[in-house]
Amino acid sequence: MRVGVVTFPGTLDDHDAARAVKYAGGEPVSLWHGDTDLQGVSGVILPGGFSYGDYLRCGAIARFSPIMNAIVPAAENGLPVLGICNGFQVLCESHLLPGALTRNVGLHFLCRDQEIEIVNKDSAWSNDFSTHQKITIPLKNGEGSYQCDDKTLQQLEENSQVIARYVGVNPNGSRNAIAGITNKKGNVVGIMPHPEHAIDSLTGPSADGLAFFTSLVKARV
Amino acid sequence: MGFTFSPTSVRQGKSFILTLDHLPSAAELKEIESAATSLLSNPVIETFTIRVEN
Repeated sequence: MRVGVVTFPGTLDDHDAARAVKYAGGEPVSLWHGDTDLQGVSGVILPGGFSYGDYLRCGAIARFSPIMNAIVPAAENGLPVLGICNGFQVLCESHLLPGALTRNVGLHFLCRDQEIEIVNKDSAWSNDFSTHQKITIPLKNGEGSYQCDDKTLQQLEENSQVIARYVGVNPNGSRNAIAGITNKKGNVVGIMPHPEHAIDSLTGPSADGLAFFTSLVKARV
Repeated sequence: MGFTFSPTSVRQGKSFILTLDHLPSAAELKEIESAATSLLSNPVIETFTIRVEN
């Protein structure tokens, strides 16, 4: 299975995302921000980093890039898209996911191994987890506090659109300790901590993150 | 710190100053408002006001 990995100017984690796709048994395909051709991929990853230098707001400019002009309609038609960290911010700015990510509650950049609980395993990117599985993956962000209005929060909870919650401390002040959400169809997922940095215990705190990628690759083989 | 003024509120925030060589028409103002909504601000977390100065 071919999975696209987008590189914007300022993206950092595209190589780790591509490596994760490979570990999961898929074939990573590099997608450049200035291109409009999705090259027939069966899924797309928007990796972490600082797209376009995070100018204006995180993800605000990336939303208008040529590749996003191709990804947004494809995602609305069911193409699986995973946004990690900055990718999550891009998905919110693109209105593929509701809400917004704001400065961490303590205003400091956080970098640590974080325990999260997978609370919805029905999405395109979480079906290889077991229900309520707790995993530990790196968290590294300055603007990771998930915010939305009360009505949106209620809808997210009622529709089981929360994918993962922080366990123990809520590190960045996200509403309802939300670490990741999905859209109503379950094909678009945004996650603040980094599963692509935790696919092999040699290079990460665990190999727990790999299941995000095998969720897609296994299901579509 | 020795300041004696007592404001009733304090606001810190972003401002964008767009300079045109003419006063904006109603249509242009509408377009600027659209840019403010879709690009310059995120209405999920921010509010904005537009002010025209001659």
